[in-house]
Amino acid sequence: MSNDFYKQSIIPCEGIIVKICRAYTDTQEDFEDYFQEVCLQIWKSKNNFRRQSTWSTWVYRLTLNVCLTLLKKKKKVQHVSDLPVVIDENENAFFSNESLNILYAAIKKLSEIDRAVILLYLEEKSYKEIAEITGATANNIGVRINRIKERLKKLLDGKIN
Amino acid sequence: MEKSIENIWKEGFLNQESILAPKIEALYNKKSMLLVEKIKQTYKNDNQAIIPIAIIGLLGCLYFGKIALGAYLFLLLISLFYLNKRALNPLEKLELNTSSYTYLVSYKNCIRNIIKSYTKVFAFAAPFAVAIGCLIYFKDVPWFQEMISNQEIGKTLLVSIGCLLMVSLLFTSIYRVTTELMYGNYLRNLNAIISDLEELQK
Repeated sequence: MSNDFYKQSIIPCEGIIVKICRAYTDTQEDFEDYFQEVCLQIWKSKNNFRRQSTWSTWVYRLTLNVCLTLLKKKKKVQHVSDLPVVIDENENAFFSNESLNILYAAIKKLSEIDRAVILLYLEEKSYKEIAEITGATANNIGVRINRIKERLKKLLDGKIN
Repeated sequence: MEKSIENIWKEGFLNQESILAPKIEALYNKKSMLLVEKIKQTYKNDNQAIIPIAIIGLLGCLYFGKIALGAYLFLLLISLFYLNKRALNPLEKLELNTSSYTYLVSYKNCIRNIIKSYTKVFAFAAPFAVAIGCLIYFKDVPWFQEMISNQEIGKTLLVSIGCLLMVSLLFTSIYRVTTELMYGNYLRNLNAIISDLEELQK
């Protein structure tokens, strides 16, 4: 990967790649693997970018696809209903900000698609953009976001002041 | 008052250190090692499968009273096992010291050499090994003794050469097909990673 490509195309999107990869991994090692795989796929698929969306939207979509594919490959997919709905604030303390760690732990309790939706929402993407990236309709996204926020609120209840 | 998730998110990422991205270094190291490990493991399993086959062959021959043939087959298969083990040595010695590219190219060359030498073994040595096996098996059969004792050397030679060629062709084809089935995907992945690395170096 040339330095120019990395500086011009990856670094501006590094933040979102990190945020998404963190939401789909449980260990630092996995996170680094996912991050590298995403960067590699961006580089390999750069010629498929058709300018029908913005570069960052395309990167979001690709990052999500790579993370979901890697999750499936690792056979770590678990049904959300099977997961305990208890948030452990020490779990995956990736960030120096404690509240952010708790929020991430809660986000990880959501289904893969709900994780994608809420991450995009928190990144202030419009419903239309989220719908475009996730392949849902804008109306559905609105309803889904409300439902996810409710769920997160319950999960975080009393854990963050 | 509880913070909203939007605020937690914004505040959490105010500090840019939160978005600490891993360095993109040695991008293919892990991938290369994993692939090579898979090939090594398949090769080892493939080789180890020879031992039970040799034992079953020996027991089968003993059961039917073909002791010499059983011993011969057993020795042949055990020799193949040690030959495979020896062939695996150069692959074991390769280490990812320099770059993934050099490592994978050396690995690919090693595998290519192994495949080449085995193709030669199956094309030239295997027919003779089968011929010896046939001699041991048919030595007491009347029609075989008759064929050997009659004076039609030319005809016998022609039939023998024909059989040797057929066995050679059959064994080489079987080797090619099994290699493709067992290692085809790995080798294609190896080539894909090497081309990616070449592209990265441009």
